Amino acid sequence: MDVKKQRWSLWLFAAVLLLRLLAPAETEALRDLLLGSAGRQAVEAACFSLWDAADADVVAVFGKAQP
Amino acid sequence: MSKGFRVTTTGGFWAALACFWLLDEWDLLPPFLLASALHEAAHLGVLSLLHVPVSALELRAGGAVIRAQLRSEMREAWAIAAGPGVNLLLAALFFRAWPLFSLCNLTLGFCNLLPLSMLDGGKLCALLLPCWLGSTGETVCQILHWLTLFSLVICGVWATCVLHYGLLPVLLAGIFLWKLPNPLAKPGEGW
Repeated sequence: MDVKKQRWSLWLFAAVLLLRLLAPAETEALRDLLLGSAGRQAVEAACFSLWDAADADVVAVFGKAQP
Repeated sequence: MSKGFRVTTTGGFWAALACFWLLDEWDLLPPFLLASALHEAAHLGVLSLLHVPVSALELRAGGAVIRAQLRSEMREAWAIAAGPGVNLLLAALFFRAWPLFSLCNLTLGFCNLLPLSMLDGGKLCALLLPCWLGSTGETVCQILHWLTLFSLVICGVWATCVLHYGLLPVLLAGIFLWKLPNPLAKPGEGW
């Protein structure tokens, strides 16, 4: 990596790190701006539907875990 | 493969990584990076098996570019197909054990198979369709490229304006249009 040429990307990483650590509200606002609440829900639904499908698959094969 | 090759990165790669990290509230970044690394490892692995020397690997915002001295179109086609092939295989294998990793592999595999010239699917089209259909193959390849591109742009605008999925879809559509390469990939150019 050519650090001199790509210094701006290091600054970008530092900015993202600071934003995530120090300004969660602003991070959420930026996420809402870029993904929208509908977009965030859609990604979440995709992740969870796959979890649920995998879970249902496991239950179908091995049965429900006994408490 | 030769004794070694140079690995370089662009600023765009780090910027894309930073943006992904900023937006990632579901911890998708580690499995996505692993899936991407395995995708590139599959390309390099097949090139190594075929004894094709690799001179450089450049990591860019849109993926990696491998510089290799390929002499046969079939060898190039196998090396290109290995990346998405491994992703789809991993998506099936890890469906139960690690669904997020499976989702990342599925997304990466399918997106790479789109017939856009900068992606694996487009490079396969550019290699194989002219072999099978002659000069008609080149035309079909270009039509597929433009149809896919404009469909993606329309989907991006629709996602932002109608579905309210934020500014990212329309920004990505803009980047696709801005970075538009020649629909017919040059032989030996990376993937």
